[in-house]
Amino acid sequence: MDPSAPNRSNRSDGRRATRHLRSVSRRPVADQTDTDLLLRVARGDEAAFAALYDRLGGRVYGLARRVIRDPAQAEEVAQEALLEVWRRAPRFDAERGDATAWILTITHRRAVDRVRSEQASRNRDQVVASRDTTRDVDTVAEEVEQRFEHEQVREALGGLTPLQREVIELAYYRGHTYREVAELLDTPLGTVKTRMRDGLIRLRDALEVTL
Amino acid sequence: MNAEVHTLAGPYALDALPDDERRFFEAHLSQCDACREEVGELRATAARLADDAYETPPASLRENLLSAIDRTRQDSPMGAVNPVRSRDRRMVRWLAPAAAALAVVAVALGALLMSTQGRADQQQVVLDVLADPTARTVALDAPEGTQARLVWSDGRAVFVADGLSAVPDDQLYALWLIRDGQPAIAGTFSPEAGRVTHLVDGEVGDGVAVGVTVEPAGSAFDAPTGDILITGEVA
Repeated sequence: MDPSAPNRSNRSDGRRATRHLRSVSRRPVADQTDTDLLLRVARGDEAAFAALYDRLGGRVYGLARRVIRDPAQAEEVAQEALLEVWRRAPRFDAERGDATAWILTITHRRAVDRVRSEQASRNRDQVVASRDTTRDVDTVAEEVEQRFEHEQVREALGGLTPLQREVIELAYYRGHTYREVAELLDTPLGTVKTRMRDGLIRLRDALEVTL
Repeated sequence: MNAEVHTLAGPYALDALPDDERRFFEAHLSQCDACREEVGELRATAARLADDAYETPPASLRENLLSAIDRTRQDSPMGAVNPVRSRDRRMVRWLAPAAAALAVVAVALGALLMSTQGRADQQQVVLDVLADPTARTVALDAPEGTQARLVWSDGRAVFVADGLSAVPDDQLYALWLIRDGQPAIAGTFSPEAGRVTHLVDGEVGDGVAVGVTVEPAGSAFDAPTGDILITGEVA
């Protein structure tokens, strides 16, 4: 699912979405999925956007903060990402994935872009002579809200081999490229790529993620 | 399609590909249904990792956002035309027939898109040539570990190579066009990370040979003095 891909729905999909929208907008917000809310946002519904924020804001901000660390910058990136969600909502295609993943994918991409452009400008200025090669992998989540989903993810991560888990955490939570991960772990590039993929496949199966 | 490219689905879903490889993989995705489906699922899986990063946001975030959306126009459902994206799509279409064989071009093109700000006109010509479905490609003879190609259409040509050795600061790679045995300089370049995408300065057509040498940086480039490292004939 490429979040930047345009909505490919044709006219009949559009009609279906409209019918769907009419039926969901009568239900209380608590009964509506993130995708239901995003479809309302697509039509300029600011209340639906606020409801979506109340549901996902903690994950969006937390993800930005995990990758970027600096709270002020994380807030800035979270805001940019969610504003992008607002802007691009009309092009969201529910047939190609759910809204939660779409929003968090946009957020992660922006957080990683921020980290990499920061690093690029640091390298240019030669303020930092070499890449940060410390290896303090996050031991995940400190004051995290105890949520069912969160427990599930922790458990699924625990089911990975140590290397699978480490390459995924360094890439996703730290924003490192797979080449950087290979260097940090002193592991061949091919192994890192493969572990990222088979680790994600194992997570997918454990979390029963489907499209 | 070589099996190697499929393994990029993992790093891609984690946003862990450097830009050039990301572009290359996206070109592949446009051709590979299996990869597209897998990437969709792996991206959704990666997004679940955010569950574990939950943190209460500052109250200012909500306030600022709600006031920002009040001032922000939403996109059209059909998608506004973004010039960069339409250019990417043309690149993808061009890559379609032989994505694997032309991987080196895609990678180099990615590097080019990243690195040649300020040379927009030249870059546009390069993109026009590379995106032209009628463009022809010839693989050039190059040393072990180096891949070099010439892509040309309508007399304009782009030289693309990957795996070039670095040269000292006081030397440059020089590209020559040889017509009727007479070499003429067609540009100099320094590879970045072993890669180069260079618009050939001079008209290229059937019967013209190309050669690449390493020359001293300050030389007059009247004729090649170094060994010919890469060579091939346009036919």
